[in-house]
Amino acid sequence: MKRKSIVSIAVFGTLWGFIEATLGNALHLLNLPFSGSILASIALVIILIARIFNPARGSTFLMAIVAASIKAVSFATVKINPFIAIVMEGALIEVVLLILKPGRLGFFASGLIMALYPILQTIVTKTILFGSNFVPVVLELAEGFSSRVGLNAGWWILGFYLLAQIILPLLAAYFAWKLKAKLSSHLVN
Amino acid sequence: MNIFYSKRFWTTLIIFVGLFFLRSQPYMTLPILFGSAIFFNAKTIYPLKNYKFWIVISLLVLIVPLFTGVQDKSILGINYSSEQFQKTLFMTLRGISVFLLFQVLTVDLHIDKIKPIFSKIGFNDFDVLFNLSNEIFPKIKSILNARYIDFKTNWKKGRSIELIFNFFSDIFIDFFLLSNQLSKADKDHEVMNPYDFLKQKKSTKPPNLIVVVGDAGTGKTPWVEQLVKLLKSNDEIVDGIISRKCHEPDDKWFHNLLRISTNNKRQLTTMDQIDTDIRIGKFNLYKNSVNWGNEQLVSIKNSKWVIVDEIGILEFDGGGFLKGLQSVVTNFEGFLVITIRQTLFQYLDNFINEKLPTVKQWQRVIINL
Repeated sequence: MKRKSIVSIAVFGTLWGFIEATLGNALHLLNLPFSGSILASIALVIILIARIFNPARGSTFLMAIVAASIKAVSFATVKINPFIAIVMEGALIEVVLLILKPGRLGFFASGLIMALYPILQTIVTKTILFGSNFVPVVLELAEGFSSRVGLNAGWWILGFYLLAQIILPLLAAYFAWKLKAKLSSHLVN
Repeated sequence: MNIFYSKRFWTTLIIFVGLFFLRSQPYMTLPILFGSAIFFNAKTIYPLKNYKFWIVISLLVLIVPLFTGVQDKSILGINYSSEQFQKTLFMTLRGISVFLLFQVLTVDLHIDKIKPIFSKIGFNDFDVLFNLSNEIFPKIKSILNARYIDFKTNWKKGRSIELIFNFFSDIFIDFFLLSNQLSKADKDHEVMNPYDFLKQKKSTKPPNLIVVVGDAGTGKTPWVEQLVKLLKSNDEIVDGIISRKCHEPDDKWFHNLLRISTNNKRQLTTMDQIDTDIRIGKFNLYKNSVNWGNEQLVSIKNSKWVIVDEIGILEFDGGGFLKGLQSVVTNFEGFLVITIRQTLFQYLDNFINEKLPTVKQWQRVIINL
């Protein structure tokens, strides 16, 4: 890999890791809802702009490794969960950008993947923790809550949760696309 | 280390097997799992003290039986499903046990233990990237700080979406410039990498002094670490001390002093106030660690390569690792590698003449980073 690519990966990977370690840890401590989506959205903007600046194959995945390492070091000891989550995000977006190239479609497909991944991750980690009953219990709860309270309240709450998870990364992809246009003169190498 | 001698491995195995007995014998199995985790390392259960850990669990055990299943029992006039309560209670026990399993797997697992895994799986650029990233970290922080202050001032004058958009685009432009500067800085003077350096070194005879010169953040320690790795892979005997910069969670930095041959280490510096009169810039040095470093250097025997990272004002003033360094160069017939800041390089000759006279006659190689 060229020196220029390595430096670019280190710079943008560190930026991503810095955001994860500072804003991410702050959101985690405050226990704010949708913190995963907020972080994924910021990460997506960094990833997409960095990929245009440095279109080297594998650069997004390597950026994720750098960011994940910084995030892991930001705790007293290595935490596997955030490490795996960031590396997985990087790997998925890398695959999308390899297949679709970082054009309009690639940007929005990346947004969609980034939107769906936290939901999938929640399902997988909670299933590992609480067993295969977790998803059926959540669905039962939505149904039970709807029938007791009425107005399909349980389903609305679940739907709102999923929509909020999806909409932020999609907006981030749109923002990154607009930002790309503004930065176009700087992106020509 | 053999995995079968690892306490972590056996505790993980006990908890993993215990998970299969959890459904049939929950009240007997759970204390065993807790006991195993505490016996391995009491820190594994610390996160359970945090109330946030119990939020999802409380939601699961208290809310689900109220809204799902057949409401066949009642407590304080509130109907709930006993079947669902049993189900969620088991899910909770399982959740706690799996959490303990991951705690045992990861507690006290530091990045230094993770790094070799990347090398083993063939990802050799990880060390370079990680060290580069450590050096870039403070620059990123200052760029973001400066841009935020700028944004705050403009925001007070007039709020608009355009301003937010400009804030982000300015940040990215700064990072493009930083990336370009860092890559160009390297192109301007081609640095000899440790591999080429070793190839050239083959024809020279010891004793030799190799001086790695560079400003803060140019990668003197990573260069030396790469050299050590190459030497070890060539079955050369290499020893000495390396001062490795590390990052703390609260944006503070410190240095660990590492003995190359044994991998033993001591914390050398801190940015916190400590009882010491040894200071360099914003770092305070632990006296005991400086003494320990000197002891390590004095104890080096029969090593063809010796590394002393990094020589500076303390040694020039007769302190720091000078005692150890003087011991190393006495009757030395190998290659001594030292690192030094660019600004201090001009005083090196004087230092050698006054404090290390035996080194005066040695062949010298300068690596400029």
